[in-house]
Amino acid sequence: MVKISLVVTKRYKKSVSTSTPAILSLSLLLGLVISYVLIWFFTKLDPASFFSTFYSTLASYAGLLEPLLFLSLLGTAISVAFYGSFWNVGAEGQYVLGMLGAIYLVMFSPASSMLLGSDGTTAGVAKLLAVALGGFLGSLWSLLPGVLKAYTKIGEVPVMLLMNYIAYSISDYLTAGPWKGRYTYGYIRTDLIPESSKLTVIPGFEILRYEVVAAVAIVFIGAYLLIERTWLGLEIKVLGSNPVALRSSGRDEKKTIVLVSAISGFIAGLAGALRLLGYDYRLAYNIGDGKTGFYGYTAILVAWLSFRDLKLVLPSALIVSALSSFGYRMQMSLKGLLPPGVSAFAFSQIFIGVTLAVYTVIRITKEYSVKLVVAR
Amino acid sequence: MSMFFPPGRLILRVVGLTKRFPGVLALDRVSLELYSSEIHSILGENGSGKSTLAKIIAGIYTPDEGYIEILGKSVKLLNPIDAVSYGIYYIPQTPNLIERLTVVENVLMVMRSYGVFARTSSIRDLVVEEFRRIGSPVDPEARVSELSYTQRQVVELVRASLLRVRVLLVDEVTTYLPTSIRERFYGYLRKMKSEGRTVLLITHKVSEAVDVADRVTVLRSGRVVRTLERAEFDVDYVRRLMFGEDYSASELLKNALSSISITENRRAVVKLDRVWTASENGGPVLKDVELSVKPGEVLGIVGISGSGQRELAEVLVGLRPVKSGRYYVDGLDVTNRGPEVIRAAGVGFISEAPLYYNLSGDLSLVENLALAIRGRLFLPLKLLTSKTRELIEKYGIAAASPKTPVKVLSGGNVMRFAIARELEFAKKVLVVLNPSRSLDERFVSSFTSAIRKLSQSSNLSVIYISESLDEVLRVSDSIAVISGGRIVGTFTRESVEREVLEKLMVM
Ligand SMILES: Nc1ncnc2c1ncn2[C@@H]1O[C@H](COP(=O)(O)OP(=O)(O)OP(=O)(O)O)[C@@H](O)[C@H]1O
Ligand SMILES: [Mg+2]
Repeated sequence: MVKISLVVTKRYKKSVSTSTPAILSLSLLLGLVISYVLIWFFTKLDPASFFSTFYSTLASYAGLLEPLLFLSLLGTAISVAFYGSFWNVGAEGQYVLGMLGAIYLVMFSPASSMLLGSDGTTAGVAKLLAVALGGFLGSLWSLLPGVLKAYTKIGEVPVMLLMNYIAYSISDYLTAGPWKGRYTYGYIRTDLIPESSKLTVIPGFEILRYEVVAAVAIVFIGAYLLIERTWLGLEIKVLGSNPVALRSSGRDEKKTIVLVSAISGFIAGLAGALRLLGYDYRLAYNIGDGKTGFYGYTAILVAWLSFRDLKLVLPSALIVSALSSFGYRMQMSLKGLLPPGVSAFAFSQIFIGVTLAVYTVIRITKEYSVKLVVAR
Repeated sequence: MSMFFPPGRLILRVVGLTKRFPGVLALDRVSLELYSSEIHSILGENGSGKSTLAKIIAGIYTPDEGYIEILGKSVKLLNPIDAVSYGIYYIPQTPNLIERLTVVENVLMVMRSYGVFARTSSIRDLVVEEFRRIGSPVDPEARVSELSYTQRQVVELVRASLLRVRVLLVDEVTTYLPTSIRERFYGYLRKMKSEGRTVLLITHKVSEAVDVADRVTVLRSGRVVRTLERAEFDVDYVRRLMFGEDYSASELLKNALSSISITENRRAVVKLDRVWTASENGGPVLKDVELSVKPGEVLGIVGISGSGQRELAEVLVGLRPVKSGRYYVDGLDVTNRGPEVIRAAGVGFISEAPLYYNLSGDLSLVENLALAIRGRLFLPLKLLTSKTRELIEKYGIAAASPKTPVKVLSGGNVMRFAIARELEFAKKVLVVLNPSRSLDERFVSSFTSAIRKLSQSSNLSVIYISESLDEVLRVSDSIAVISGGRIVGTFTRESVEREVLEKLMVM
């Protein structure tokens, strides 16, 4: 009798860092090649147009900047949570709550008319409040699963996935009901936010906003300081790596879970608020239909790629931005080449999927040795 | 047995092995020969490179320089499976079992991957038989998570004994085994030897090594100091080779207890009043435990492995709920108030498994030091770093830098660091659970004398739980025996005979 078994052993590592820019780039390269082969198999797409599409994706850096900024924010939010083994898959919902908070403040709150008066001198305050409210709502949205995890041991993942849908529904309810706009040409959506509450375009870079760029810098540095320089950051890291040691050091494990969930949600909510004030300017009905760009989900990949290493969030966000916008372009150029029944969307996802799979395999084989053992 | 060789055949040769880790030269041109029918002991202080050497032979690490020959042929051992194919098996320093599986399942798993197949039920019988033979009380159907550390090591030993290995590498496993099991295990090693197999035995107990080994190789700072033949064995000489010329046996004796008097009428700092607690599956593991410890008193608690020591320590530091009874620290009722309150009351904890209970292996020494204290907002990194340097210096911890992650330290150095941190931290009470397992003799003796000193100079009350009677006799003012979760007797050190304690332990 021949018996085959798979033996997986953890490697003792020389270095401690699990992910490096080199691994990221290697995955990208291999991912490109493998997905081209797959796509070629169905479409006979010539390599020149495949790789030139990729090249033009990178070349049009402006198109990458906007997803880069938001994926960095959301990726940072989720990474902070990952340090504490709080698996924040609810950033999407927190992001939406952030949008709701911002639009409420600048359009529907009593403060809006006061602060956004004709002269515009207090508009800055309004924007700041809007962003703060967005962050606050995001952190409430994340706090609930955090509290449940801390005090009842209910896993955060299913709760958060559910809450993402609830966030979509709340947004849709408000958009179609109390917040429905008057000047919408028949669409179901809110009106545009007041001109004075929109974020400031950086001259010469249509796609950039001063406030967003500043927020990315502040959030990133803030998160880094939190994790590497503060007592709370230390507690979050111990929570993530050895909760028993956290407890026996006399610290409150529950409190740490709740705090890390709130911080992570705050950053995600903040991102949503900035998105609304800087780019979307309104809410539209059916927000769960891709109107968020699914950034809250895509950012999970960013956090996964940079697992527990904040320094890698920006490079990871760049790679994921490139992947998704390349996927989008491929979708365009594949139209008509595909056999009936195969959607272009599925194909654009192949690229992302393959690259991430390659990345995961490289990392696992670096940390674990996997061997087939054939015994007789 | 056909797969083994007649005595004296060169089985495995290591030639010029060098291994560097960031900031450390773990092995420096180490050469060694292992013969059939040989028990070869490796001795050396903490961090001298013993485990690294064994791990290279086991294919876990690859050397930077040098090579390994098996039966005269140079081989490349790139991973443990390569080593296994040559009949090499490594029992690691810390048990490497899957917690949620039962003992039998853990044994089966390895047998499978080592190509030993049989029906599950017949292996089960074999395992049960083997545990009986080694005279160990481990229940083969128990989940590993319920076993004490020592019991886990017995499982490792039984598992190894069932594999038909040619070269067995034993890393620091025998230290705490109850004497009876240890004797049998050495008997088992001798039997392996008589069958023509080879054993590489890493231990900190010089006297044992000298007893059981045919040859001894001493490592120091990654270098081979000497390989000694039986005729040259002399405990004092070996110790000097291990620790350097300044070391003498009298240092050990000097630390033997100078008896002190505790003021009788002082009120207890630690008091357990009829405490009961339960195991993971609900059965009682501590039964009606009464203890009281005065300021400056060292209370030793002895018992055979699995008598409730771990659970007692967990109750004392607040990690395990008390089912009934009360627990007071310095007059304050801390029953079930958790480590927050208990630690704030000045209770420190040194455990047998520091990477489980006390430290985060992924984090640096500095961060782990910070974990013992509290603060607001920003970490005082400068201060913490210089304090870490101080501890590294004072306690002789082999670490490349204060920023080194704890998990890359050698087993003994992880323990040294945990001890250093808690000795500095504990203000009133120190709970100690089986500390010496991975420590070399010299460090154990300075540790026990540090405990004596602190108890006298700072009035520290110490609860010293250990499976080693010698250690407890050396360090304690009074001694309690734990058996089956009960305290079956408490004595002052002067009033008790060793034999009495030994009898009580197995009652
Ligand atoms: N994976 C690793 N990464 C970095 N340094 C390591 C690693 N493994 C061991 N070292 C270092 O190599 C040196 C030798 O370690 P080793 O574990 O071989 O010591 P040892 O003799 O087994 O000590 P002990 O008695 O404490 O178990 C130590 O200084 C240790 O810090
Ligand atoms: Mg070792």
